[in-house]
Amino acid sequence: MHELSLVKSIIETLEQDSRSRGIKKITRLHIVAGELASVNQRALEFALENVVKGTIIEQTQIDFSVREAWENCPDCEKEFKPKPPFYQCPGCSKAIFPGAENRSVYIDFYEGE
Amino acid sequence: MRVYLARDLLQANQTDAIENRNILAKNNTLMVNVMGSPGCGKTTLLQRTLKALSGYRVSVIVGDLYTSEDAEKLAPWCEKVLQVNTEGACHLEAGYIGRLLIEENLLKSDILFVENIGNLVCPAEFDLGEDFRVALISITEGNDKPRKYPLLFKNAEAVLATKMDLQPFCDFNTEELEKNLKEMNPNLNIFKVSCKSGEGLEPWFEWVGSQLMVKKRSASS
Repeated sequence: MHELSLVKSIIETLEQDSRSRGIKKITRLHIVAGELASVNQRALEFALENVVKGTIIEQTQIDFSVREAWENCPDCEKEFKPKPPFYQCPGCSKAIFPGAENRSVYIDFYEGE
Repeated sequence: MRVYLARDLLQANQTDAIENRNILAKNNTLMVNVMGSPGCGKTTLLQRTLKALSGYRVSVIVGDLYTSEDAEKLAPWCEKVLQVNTEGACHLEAGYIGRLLIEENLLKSDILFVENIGNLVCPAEFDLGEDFRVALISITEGNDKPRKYPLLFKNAEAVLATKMDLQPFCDFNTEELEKNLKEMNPNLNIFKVSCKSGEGLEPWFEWVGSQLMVKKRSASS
């Protein structure tokens, strides 16, 4: 994935949102990536360390979590962990396309003052 | 103060893609996102396809890091071709495509092909607002590519195995390819083609034409 683009998006989102709430300083940030999001945590941390100077998250404590991917088979309704490359239901072999929530990266919350 | 956002960081592209999809539908323009690795035959396939679709108004957006070589190859066969040089970015994004649709008057076209950057990874993650995706795999790349890069192939409407004229010189197994692809997506349309010999191209041309007819019919109903 594009860890630098993600960091840029994080900074833009937080600058806009914190401004609208009158928050001047962001002390903590929690980012969640879906298990299938193809985000390399080290690359993201590297990008965060090197790109945040002079931005609103320069002094922020940043935490990163991975959310386990689960899907419901639309045919047999079995809940399963989708695995590449076929993402097939172990119950009935139906191939599914992983849902957006399992492939997305999002800001869960931030803390500020 | 804690603020919960649950804000998808790639939402901006998705919003742009939805807008593109709406505007393409309103203007009855079919957009096809053509993807595959560098050298798999995207430009050559488009040369042949554009020639077969000469009765229609067709435009092309070509994405490459540098040069306008592909646009120059396609220019004689379509109404308009635009070369996008990303100078480093490894995929195209919906927002930029959306600007080109308007600024370059591409919505008068019957079909707009977008030849994406040669890359089996990133283009799969960025919806451009296309009607459907076409993924290419040349038989010289090996049978393992769909298994190694599943999203690109799984989310396509059609997959083309290209350079079939090289079959005598490759270990590529087309039955294994079809089996893997159907396991990923049973509804995939699979074509085996050679742009050099012309093998397999007619069914591909007919299929593209039929997709255009479906679009036209749904617009008029």
